[in-house]
Amino acid sequence: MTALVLSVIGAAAGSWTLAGAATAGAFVLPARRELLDRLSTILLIAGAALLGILLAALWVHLDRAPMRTLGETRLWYAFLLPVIGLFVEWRLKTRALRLPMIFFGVLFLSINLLRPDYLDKTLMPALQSPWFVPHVVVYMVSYAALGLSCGVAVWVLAGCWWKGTRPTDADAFLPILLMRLGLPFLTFGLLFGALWAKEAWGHYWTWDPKETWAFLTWAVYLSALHLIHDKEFTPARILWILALGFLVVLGCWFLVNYLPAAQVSVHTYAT
Amino acid sequence: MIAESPTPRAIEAEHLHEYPSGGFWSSRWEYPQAVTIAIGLIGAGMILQAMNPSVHVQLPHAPYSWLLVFGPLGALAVMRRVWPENLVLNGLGSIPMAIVSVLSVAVLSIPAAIWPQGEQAPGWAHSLGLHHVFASFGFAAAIALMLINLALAVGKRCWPIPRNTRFLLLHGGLLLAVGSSVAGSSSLIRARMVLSEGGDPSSTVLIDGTNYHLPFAVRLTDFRKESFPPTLSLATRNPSAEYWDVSPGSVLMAEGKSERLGGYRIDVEEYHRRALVVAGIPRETDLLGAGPAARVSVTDATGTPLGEGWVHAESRYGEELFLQVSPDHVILMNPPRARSYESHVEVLDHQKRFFEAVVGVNQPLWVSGWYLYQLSYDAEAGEASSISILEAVRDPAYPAVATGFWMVILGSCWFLWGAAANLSGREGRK
Repeated sequence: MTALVLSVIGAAAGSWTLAGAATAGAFVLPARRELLDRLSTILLIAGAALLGILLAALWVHLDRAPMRTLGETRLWYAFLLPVIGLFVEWRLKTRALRLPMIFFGVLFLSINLLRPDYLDKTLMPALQSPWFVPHVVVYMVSYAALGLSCGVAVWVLAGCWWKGTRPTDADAFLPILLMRLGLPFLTFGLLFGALWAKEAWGHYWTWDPKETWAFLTWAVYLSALHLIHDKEFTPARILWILALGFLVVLGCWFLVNYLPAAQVSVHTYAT
Repeated sequence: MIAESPTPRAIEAEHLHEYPSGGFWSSRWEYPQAVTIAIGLIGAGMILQAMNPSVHVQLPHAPYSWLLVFGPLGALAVMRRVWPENLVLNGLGSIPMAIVSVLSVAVLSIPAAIWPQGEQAPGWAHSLGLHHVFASFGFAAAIALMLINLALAVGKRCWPIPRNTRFLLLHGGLLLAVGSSVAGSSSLIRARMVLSEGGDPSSTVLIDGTNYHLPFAVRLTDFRKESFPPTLSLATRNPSAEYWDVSPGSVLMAEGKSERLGGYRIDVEEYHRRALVVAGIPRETDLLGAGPAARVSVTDATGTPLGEGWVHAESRYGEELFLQVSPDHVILMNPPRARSYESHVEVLDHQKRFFEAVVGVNQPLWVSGWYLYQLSYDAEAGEASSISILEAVRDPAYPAVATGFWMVILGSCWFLWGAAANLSGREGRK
């Protein structure tokens, strides 16, 4: 089963790598742009479909939601990136999310290929709750939107640096929109977790290291949201915050498990 | 940048008053003033904490704690309404102050995000009084600043409600949740109850060295624990050191199952859910607390048989058995993980009503204003545990906190709807 899982992940990563090549080709060959864009879209959808089927199969095989380990959450993240990204691209008639989608998708799938998860069917009693699935899903939706926001922000900043120009309000529109889509889900995740913790352990907030990181993430994006409305803050500054803010997300998601504080965390089942 | 109207800053601008420019404190307060106030307040709190490392913030008991928290906050909200042009009130309730106060709380919580708190905190944290950072004076100052900012913001936009509903849900909800959490912290009681199967009803718990009488009594009639079947692991001798690397197990054991571990194929020939190990041989038993055992056969990648034998995780009814398949590889059984555990209890509540109930993980029991949570059990005894550890929690502030949470959730749904409008063309795009 592990070999099959790795094959599917490899196929999805391969599909997206080809999508990346098609996207790059569209830049180089403007005459074939439409065709290559369409090909890239098809490959992205194919990869996402493979991951969707894999997640459904894992759910059945493991007899639990495949959302317990870091590897399983990475699969959800990789699956949600094109789901959210392609939807936003379709609505806004843009291709700006193509490279961030592919970059983060291939990166996270590669980590799963290099560090394969073992298929553990066990689920600790605290996780056997109706809150489990919504809590993880809203966080993954949020992380996907915020990751895309970071990717576009980095792309815009790099482009402006290359051209020697300053980012405009229009440049910042998409990263900010993605942040505004991601922040409510981040809030849902935080509060669903608190409501669940109250039900499971009797306390809704204990400043457990994972909770503290979740708060840090929320505080960064909450501040970014308020800064948008400040006339003194330029698009460049906001783009920098959105680009660097995702590092805090990664800290909350992965880094916290390797810090000294992890030894006192009740969230160690996530590793 | 975002075509959404009206923005908080735009609304703030509607009520923006021109203050005489010149002096640092007499012109409109922006980031420099907000940062100065935050540094001053939090710095004073931290100095106070460093001077008294063992002293922590403690509020009086309810109802005084509620008066102490919501009295000044309510007064500030009213004052902002009555004196909308006041420079100090506007400054403390401004967006710069909101950002600075939230980031202050975030910055102060960073040490706890990296290092453990309490007794396990590093030495420098102890000497600075930061080993209980969330109960420190500096942190309390940052929270106070955030609450003051929220109260002033709510006071400013509490009317007209229809126009400000989303704002009030988000900011009022946060104010209610955080304020109630702070005010209710002194009334929160948590106490562990160690119950023995068939023991006497318990109505007394030990809190900080003193006996506390609960308004109800609980008697444990039965403790039930179920485990997942065990998994197998492959241990590999590390060539550079005297230890073994153990790969995680995967398939849950059952007779007839097979799996690959490393380059080996392992077939389970025989499986006992509970086994009593006698002279190195597991025998099937009904004894609670006995661990599982499996007779496995191992073949290599070419199908060559490498060995057969029993594997068993150590339990109170037998030692660990493992199977060496090569000088560097050992197959071993991992102890089974808990699937569920619950306490069947008899309860006599404060009105002398008797009833039977079950307390499980994620399934607390409400009785006489308290919640009982399934916390733990005798892990060494496992399924045979006759001890259940419950936690009795009385948290009168929680309904207010939860109301605040749901207000924020509702406000966030509304906010999401507004953001999604940019996708659906309901609002202009740029």
